[in-house]
Amino acid sequence: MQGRVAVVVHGSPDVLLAPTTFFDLMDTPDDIYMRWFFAASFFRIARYIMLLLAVSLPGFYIALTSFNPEFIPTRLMLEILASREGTPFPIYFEMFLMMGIIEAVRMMMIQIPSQAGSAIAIISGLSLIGVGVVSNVVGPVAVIIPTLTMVASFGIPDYDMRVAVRIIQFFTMLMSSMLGIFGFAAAYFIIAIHLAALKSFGIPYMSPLAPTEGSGLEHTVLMGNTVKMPQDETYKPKKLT
Amino acid sequence: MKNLKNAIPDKLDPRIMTVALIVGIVEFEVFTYARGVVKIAGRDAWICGLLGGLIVIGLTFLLVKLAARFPNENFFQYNRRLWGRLPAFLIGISYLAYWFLYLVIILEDSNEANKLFFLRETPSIVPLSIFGVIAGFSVLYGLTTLVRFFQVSFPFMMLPLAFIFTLSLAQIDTTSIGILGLECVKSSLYSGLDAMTVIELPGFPVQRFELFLTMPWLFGVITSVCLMVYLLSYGILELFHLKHKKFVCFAVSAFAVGAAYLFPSVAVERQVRSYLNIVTFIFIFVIPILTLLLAILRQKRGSADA
Repeated sequence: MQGRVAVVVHGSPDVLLAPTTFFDLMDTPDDIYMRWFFAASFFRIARYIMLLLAVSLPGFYIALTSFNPEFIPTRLMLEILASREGTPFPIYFEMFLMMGIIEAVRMMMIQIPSQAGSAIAIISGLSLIGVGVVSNVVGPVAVIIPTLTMVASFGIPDYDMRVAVRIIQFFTMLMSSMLGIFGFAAAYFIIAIHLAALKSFGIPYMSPLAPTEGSGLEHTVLMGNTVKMPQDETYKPKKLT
Repeated sequence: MKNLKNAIPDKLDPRIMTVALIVGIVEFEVFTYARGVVKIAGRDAWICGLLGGLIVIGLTFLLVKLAARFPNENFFQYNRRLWGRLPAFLIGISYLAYWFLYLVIILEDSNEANKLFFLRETPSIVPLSIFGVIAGFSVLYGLTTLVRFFQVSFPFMMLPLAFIFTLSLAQIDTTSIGILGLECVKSSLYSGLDAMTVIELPGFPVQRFELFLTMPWLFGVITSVCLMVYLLSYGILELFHLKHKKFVCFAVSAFAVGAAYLFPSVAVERQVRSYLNIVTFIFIFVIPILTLLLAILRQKRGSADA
């Protein structure tokens, strides 16, 4: 708990914790229960890599292939070009289409709350993608990237964070479609500034990284040995600066 | 958010002035001084570099002493007490002009690089405006957010640079270190660029490592732009006792973007930059050190220590 407040509501399986930080939302209970803290660190790093992939992969792919193909290794670029031969749409359109289908399938699974609903959603999603590739409407890479993004997004433990990441995906895709790598970087700067300005009940959202709080750094990307970890000062009330 | 915005003081933070001076010195030392020295000194570049580094460390120490003498005041505030009202106002105005020119040069430089590497066909006003909006937006949140933004972005800047540095180790020709030759100095100073263009790992997902320089470069540009817009906006607010922070932040960004867009050519920009390097010496060394001397001679100290 580390000095935080928990809100438990009768009848709800969820518990609210306040204040909360970005790094709290990336934590899982397994990190604490895991006997060996090196293993916990390994899985945490994997989770953060998945977060990075989920946020940036579609936008980065659009930026590289549409604006700066010279950064891609020649053989890989040739493979991408060969796979796209005959496809009618530009890369950014393919990506928006595929990411849109994924979102539609996700919504369908939520809106039809039964086992039949899930089956319908999966079958329609798979058939749409399969027929799209076979009929050459979209290239195979345009299927790989959104699927990888979707898989990576499930590495994020918190549901609200996943929702935010989905919105950010579309934002980075939009910026990359218009301005390539520069747009991708600009999107990153805007998001980073926004995150740096956020606060949760007076505690900076990006602490203990920004502002840097040495005692809390072992609660971030790497997990420290719980026996030796110092008292985390992240949630200690401070004067407003 | 409302509390955060209210908590941001409407004055130029004393800490940022020290940081800006030190950043200016590092920029001057690394990018201007080192290049010039390598060109002029030839074989003795190593010695000149080491001596120059020592001199710069000494001068930086004096600047830190100056800032420490007036812990609760910024440069504009203690200038008024040391130089008198009118000279301080004129010094303030000249600093604003210098920062504005510096900002325009940074924007123009980034614009040229953008045109060359990233956005060959996009009108240059688009990326320039985006820089302006990001800078105005971040400065509006205040110094605290700006510093936190640097902290958040730090790993994204350092990890690629560390990667580049590791790659560049293989490129340094250690056989000529004993001779202190020009090639050795060049390879040490610009080894990152060598590594970027020479190393290729066949089959590795990213063969061309220029990509790894992209984010640190953009990060460097945006931090410099944010810092300059901050100094200019809060300097104007301080000097002219204005209240409209939002308007001033975005007006400064808009004027800088407009000036960078209207810059005639790269040749003119290079010329202006060479003049600016000379002027930089006055603004980051001469004036602050004269101010320190004045403070010592007139026995003035910050209000907290008085």
